[in-house]
Parts: sequence; structure tokens; C-alpha cells
Amino acid sequence: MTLLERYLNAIDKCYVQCLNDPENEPYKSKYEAKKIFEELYKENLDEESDIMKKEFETLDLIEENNQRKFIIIKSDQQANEPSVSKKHRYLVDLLFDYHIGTIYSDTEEKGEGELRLRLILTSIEQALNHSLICSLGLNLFNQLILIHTSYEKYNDAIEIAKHAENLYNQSLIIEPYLLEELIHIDLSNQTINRREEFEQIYIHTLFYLAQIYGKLNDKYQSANYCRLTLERQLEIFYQNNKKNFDPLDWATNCATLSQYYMTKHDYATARHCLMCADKMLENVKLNDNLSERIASFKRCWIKYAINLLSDSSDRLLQAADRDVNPNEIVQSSSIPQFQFQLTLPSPPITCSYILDYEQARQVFLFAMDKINSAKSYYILDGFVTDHVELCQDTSQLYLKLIFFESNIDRKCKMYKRRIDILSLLCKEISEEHYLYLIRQLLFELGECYSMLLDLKLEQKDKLNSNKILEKISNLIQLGISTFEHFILTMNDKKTNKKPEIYADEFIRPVLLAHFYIGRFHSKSIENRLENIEQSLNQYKIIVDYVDKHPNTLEYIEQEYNICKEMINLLPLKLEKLRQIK
Amino acid sequence: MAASETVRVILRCRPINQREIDLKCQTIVSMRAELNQVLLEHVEQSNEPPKQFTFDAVYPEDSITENIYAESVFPLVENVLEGYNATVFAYGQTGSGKSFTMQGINTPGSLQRGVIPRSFEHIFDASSIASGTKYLIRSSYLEIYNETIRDLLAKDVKTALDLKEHLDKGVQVQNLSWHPCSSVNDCERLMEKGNRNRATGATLMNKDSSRSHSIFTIVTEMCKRSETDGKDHIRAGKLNLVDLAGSERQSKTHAEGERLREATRINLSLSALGNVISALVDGRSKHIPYRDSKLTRLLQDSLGGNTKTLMVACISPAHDNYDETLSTLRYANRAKNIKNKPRINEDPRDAQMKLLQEEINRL
Repeated sequence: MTLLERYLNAIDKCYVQCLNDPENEPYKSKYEAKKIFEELYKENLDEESDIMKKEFETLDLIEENNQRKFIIIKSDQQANEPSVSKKHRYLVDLLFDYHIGTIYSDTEEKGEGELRLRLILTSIEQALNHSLICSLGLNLFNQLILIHTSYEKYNDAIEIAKHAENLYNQSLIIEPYLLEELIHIDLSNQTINRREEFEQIYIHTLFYLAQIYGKLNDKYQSANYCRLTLERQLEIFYQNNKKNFDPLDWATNCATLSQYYMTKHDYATARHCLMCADKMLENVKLNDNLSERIASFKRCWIKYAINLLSDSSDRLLQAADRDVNPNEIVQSSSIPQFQFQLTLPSPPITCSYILDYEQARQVFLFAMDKINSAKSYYILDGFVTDHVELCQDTSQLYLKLIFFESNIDRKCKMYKRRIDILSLLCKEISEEHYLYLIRQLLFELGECYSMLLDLKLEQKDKLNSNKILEKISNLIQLGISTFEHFILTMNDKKTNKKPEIYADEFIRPVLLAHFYIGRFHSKSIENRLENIEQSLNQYKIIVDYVDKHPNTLEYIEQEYNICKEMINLLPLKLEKLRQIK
Repeated sequence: MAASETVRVILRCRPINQREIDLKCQTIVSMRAELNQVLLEHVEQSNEPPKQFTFDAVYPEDSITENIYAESVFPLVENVLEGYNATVFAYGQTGSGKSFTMQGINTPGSLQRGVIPRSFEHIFDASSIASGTKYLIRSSYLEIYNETIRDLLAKDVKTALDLKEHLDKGVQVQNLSWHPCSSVNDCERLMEKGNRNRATGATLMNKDSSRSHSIFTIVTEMCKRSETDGKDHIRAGKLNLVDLAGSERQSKTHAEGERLREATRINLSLSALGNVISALVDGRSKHIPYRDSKLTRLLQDSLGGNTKTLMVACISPAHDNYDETLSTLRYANRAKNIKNKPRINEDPRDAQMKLLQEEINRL
């Protein structure tokens, strides 16, 4: 076996075969690899090829502080060390040092590993931009980043990454020979392959940085480095070497990144990421995952639309409150923070804040189209949770649209739509198996009845008709029974008894349900006496619960205070009503 | 206690073993059983106060499985026999005594017979003495590794199975095989067969079997003819026994050198980029385009919603297991909060408050 073959065998042991090592001997292969590298120091090198000799014309070896170091010289300069074979030998030994140092680090002897790696760095740091050195240098930096991170020395790791970044940027014009080519340059290797290897190493640098910033809780920088990682991966895609590029993976990560920018209210960037994700899916071969992923990205767009509408209405409300132009609250921006190099179609939807009904309607229709399309994949019987969430999204979209609609009739129609969707779902899915979904749906449905009731009461004041009175009565009944059903879902499954104490996340919803029921009763037009009594009961339940468990006051303080007032005042009203009777 | 919605978490510490005694290992775990507290010391940093964790129950080194079963597991299995669902999670790193607690010394009558054989016995005892009720008991055994579900009792164990959410039946694994059991022996044999397949699969697929979750499920269908209406009434209870994957294996080769702690672990593989990005996204209205973890989906009717759920976490008392023990304690601590929190969207109610206030003023 030649030196190169033995080297490659050791590499294979160290990185590939080690994955199969038994649990009680997890470093078996790495130790074997280390042995091989140690033996390779003694093996002779073949005479250097012409191309290798040429490369060494610009790489010189000097001695400084008792250590031999590489430096870059001009090809016509007088070399300190004229012997190519001596320089080559030293370089190859450094290569073996690197692998051995890495193995020490990987096998929990980080101290030893770091020591060796730092020595190598001292020997090459003045020649990092040389074709024969740059790859070794970049790999070395990555290892040191990992070591420092394991000691939680995140800032030191970031400093090293800066060196790696410089090295990468300065190496864009040179030929980055692969590590194994330090032994023997493979003439059949193309620049493009070497570039791609080098890129992959740097992509890892960026990826490690993204994680380090994540650990430092600097989400902005973490996102930035995730984005840079994706950018560099895209570069590889364009170099036409698809070996290391997975378009489905890339698209999915890009779509996920869009959600980060979306939650930061940066709609321009979020939109750009989603458009890139969609575009990249065109490069994915038809497989099992593709249709799921396509449907999944649609859901990212739906959230985008909901959030945009939501932020837009908040903005308008704040502007109205402070009596200023909405731009004083926050400006729209249509320029993304960065752009991936993909040819995109024109944007399917705005990224600016919505100002009026017509604009809102456009966003609404866009999102509804996505919802209907996604539902054809996420069918109810098969994907209950996903389908329900899509319906909840529909309900939310109507809610956001209602904000921009001024006509009461049309508002009522939209509430009616929400009610139809939610109540149908409640009947269709099993309460036994999807209890937490049923609870969400019931609560939202109850709120819809409440809001629709308020609108109908407003209408009643304007046009007094029996039809409206009937509708009002109906809504009150439905509202009460919906919230009662919600409260019942909390009962013990075996005994059907009401719990003494509710878990934290249910306290507010349950007490609010009682509050709503009380309110529904109080809006009743007939049987005033009985209904107000019922109202009073509900308010009493709330006050009793909070008084019994004072630590829960924080969940429902406003409503509690109102209930207390009601409890004081309603008995008087009841008295008056009884006297009238 | 509003306990039915949350996961009940109990902790057991195994006794120090001969190897550890020979190596003169120190005991770093202590318990205040009456307070349900565990204390973990750090041998080198002795001026640091011990780390404290509280659970629903803690069982020290001299505890016996019979007591643990009676106090913590018995009510769950009773529930199953009444037609409800229950899930028992077992968690512990290699060497924590998890197998000892869950399988234990399998001699009938032994005080240290494990939780699993005891549950089997509990179920079959009930079925044998119940008169007038017909019992149909079936079992299945599956494994989740790398988000792939496999049937450990299938003819071809390598086939990946899909999860489907049925409107009426809840989450089901498609084509999972179910096997009738009429005795404790039947169940134990099935479990052994599945365990063998789990281990073989691990070697064949070059994977670390300690990184997979497994779920052994027993369904008890109880059919009783009602005296009042003469009809057959069927109740079905389900018991899930979940063996949770440990975290990445820690190994002790050389005494010196730091071991990678969980917090500082960097993912070397770009396949983890998605996780790094997901971790950045927080906010209510969002969609992360990966499926939810299969384990979560499969057990979602256990995580909140009237199913009794128990987690048994196992630790070692020895100081050279400090990292694993701390990691387990933190994991178990987080488990206390696992439940499906409903996203009850609340619409802004400032307008409503105003209306109400006006009403009060009018009264």
C-alpha cells in the first residue's frame, strides 16, 4: 500500500468506520486510525511531481522561536529552505499532526488535542493563503472552534471563526488543494471539486457560528449565520455539483427561516424566503415527501398572511389611539435584509402593512386559496390535527378581515362563516381522542356567538323586527350551551365530577367561560328575572373560585373586579324586577 | 390536585454496585422522601450547594419495586381495567437501573419483580376472576428510531409504518400487528421477541439501539352483558409502556478530559441546520415545516386529556455518573410540564370591558 492509500484508509477508519464501533468500545476505530497516522511519519514520500515543486516555489520554511514555520515568498525570491523534499516532509508531518490532534480531541482528551493543534497553527499561520496550506488552515480553525465551544468559551470560538472567515475570503482566488493532495496532487482533480470541498468546510464554520450565537441567545446573529450557511449551500448548487446539495432540505430550511423573520415582523424578508423555498421545490424529484412539503409551505404562507393582517390592524389601532399617522408607529418595508440568488417570479402578495378593506381582502383571498389547496392534502380523516389547524386559520383570517369591514351586515356574515366552520368540526371529531382540539374549538365558537350577539343587538336598536329578536335568542342559547360544553370537558372522565382545582393553563379559560355565560344570560330579552339570577350565579362562581384560590387572581383580575361589582348591584336589580312581577 | 392533565413523575435511585464500590466511588445522590426531593452533589465543587429537584415521589437505593408498583403504577392499571387509557414512560441512561425497575427479577412473588411483569399479572389476574365479563387482550410492540416507526413483531421488521389520525379512532399506526394474549407468559414472550428484533435491527442498520423509543401496548377489551338492557357493553382500556431513548451515549474511556456536556454540544452534521433554525422561531402563529415528532403524535391523547400518565426516571448514585444523573434529573423535571396546552385564542376584550363597565354604571 502506498502512503496515500494508507492515509486514506486511516481517514476512513477515523470518520466512517467509527460509526459502527460497539458501545463499550466507542473509540476503537479512532485509536486504530491514530496508530496508522503515527506510523506514517516514518514512511518515505515519493519524489514530488512537477506541479508540487511549482507550488513549493512560493512556500518557504523558516525557523522562528525554535519552531519551523511556513511563510509565503515570491517565486523569484531566494528561499531559506531550498529543498522541496524537506518542505514537503514537514508539511505532510503537520498533516498527520492535525489528524492525530483531532483524534485526541474527539476521544475526550481535549487538552492534548488543543495543544497539538495550536502548535500546527503556529507553524502555518503566516502562510494561510497558500494553496497547499489553506485547506489545512480552515480545517484547523474549525477544530479549534469546536474545542472552545465545548469549554463554553463562546467568544474565543467566535474570534477564531473570524480568522476562518478571513482565510476563506482571501482564498477565493487560489487553488485549495484537498488535504490528501498534500501527500500527492491528483492531476485529474478539477478546480471545481477542490473549491467545493473547501466550500463545505467553510459552510461548517458558518453552521457552527449559527449554533454558537444560538447558545449566546443572540437570535439575530444566529439567524444571520443560518442564512449565510444557506447562501453558501446555494453556491454549491450553482456550481452544478449536486452531490452535497439536497434541494428539499434547503427549501425546508429556507421556509423555516422565513418564519423567524415573520415573527420579527420583517415581512419583506419572510416573503423572500418563502418565495425562494417554493422556487427550490421545482428542483425536487417527485417523491413521497414532495407533496407533503408543498402543502407544508402553504401553511407557512397562511401564517404569514394572518400575522401581516394582525400586525396591520394593531398598527392602525395604535395610530388611532395616539392620533398619528400609522407610519409613525412602524414603517412598511419592501426590501428584504438579504437576497438569495434565485430567479423569482413577481411576489404573489404584499409585504407592506395593510391600510384598508380592499388590501385586506387581497391578503385574505391569497391565504384562503392556500388553505383550500393545503386541505386537499391534509384531509380531515387522516390528518385531524393539521386539518383542524387549517380551519382555525380560516376562522382567524375572517376575524382579521372583520376588523377592516365597516358594514355590520357583512361583519355578521363573516361571523356566521366562522361559526359554521367551527361548529361543524366540533361535531365531526371525536371528543375522546382530540379533547384538547375540541376545547380550543368550543372556546373560539363561544366567542364568535358572543361577538355576533353584540352585532345583532346593535342592529336591533336600529331596526326592531321579530326576526332579529329570534336570532338574538338563538345566539344566546347557543352561546350558553357552547361554553357549558367547554366547562364540562374539564370534568373527571370517570366520575363526571367538576374538578376542585383547575390546572394553571385552564383557570382563565374556564372562568372566562362562566363570565361569558353570565353575560349571555344578562343579554336575554325574555324571562329577565330568571336570566339575571343565572347571571348572578355565574359571577358568584367566579368570585368564589378566586376567593378560594387567591393565587389565581392574576389570571382574571379585571373580570373578577367586575364580577364583584355585579354581585353587589345585581341583587338590587333583581329585587326591583320581583316587585314589578 | 388538578393532576389528571399532567404527567406524574417519580424517581428511583438504584443501589451502588460492586464495580463502583471497588473503584471507591462516592455516593452523590441523597433523598428527602417525605418532601419528595432529590439532592445531587458535585464531588469536586463541594462549596456549591447540592442541586435540588422535587418530584411526585422519590424512591431511594433501598426501595423495592413492589412498593413502587403499589403506590404509583397500580392506580394506572386499574384505570385501564375500567376502560381508560394509561401511559407509563421509563427513562434512564445506560447503567441507571432502568431495566431493573421495569423488568426486574422475574420470579413471581419476588419483591423486586419489575413494573412490566407486574402490570401483566395485574391485568390477567383481573381477567381471570371477573365473572360475567369476557376479556379480549391484545398486544403490539413498535419502535421509533430517527422518526421512523417499525413493528417489532412483524414478519419484516424493516418496513416503515405510517401514522394516521383517524376521526373516530384517534392516532393509529397503519398496519401495526396486534397479537392476542391469554396469559402473562404470552405477553412476556412477545416482549422478548420484540426486544430481540430491536437488537438485531440495530446491528443491521448500524444504529445505536439506545437511541430508539419503544412502545409496548396492551389493549384490554371487556365485554359485559348488562342486566338492565340485556345488551353487550364493551369497554376498551389501553396501557402504553414506553421505553424512552437515552441521550447520546457518554462513555468513560480515559479518566481525564472533559466530557461534552449537553449544553455545549455542537451538532457536527448539517442535517441539524433545520433544528437550529427552528429554535429561533417563537411566537404563536407560525408553522415549522417538519412533522411533529412521531412519539408526541402517537401519544398525544396521553399528554393531557384525562389519560393517566406516569414517568419513571432512574438514576445511579455514583459520582462518576454525575453528568448522566444530572441530565436525567433535568429531563424528568421538564417532563412534569409536558401536556398539550390548548391554544385558547382570546380576542381583545377592551371593547367588551368598556361595555360591561357602562352596564354597571347604569345599574
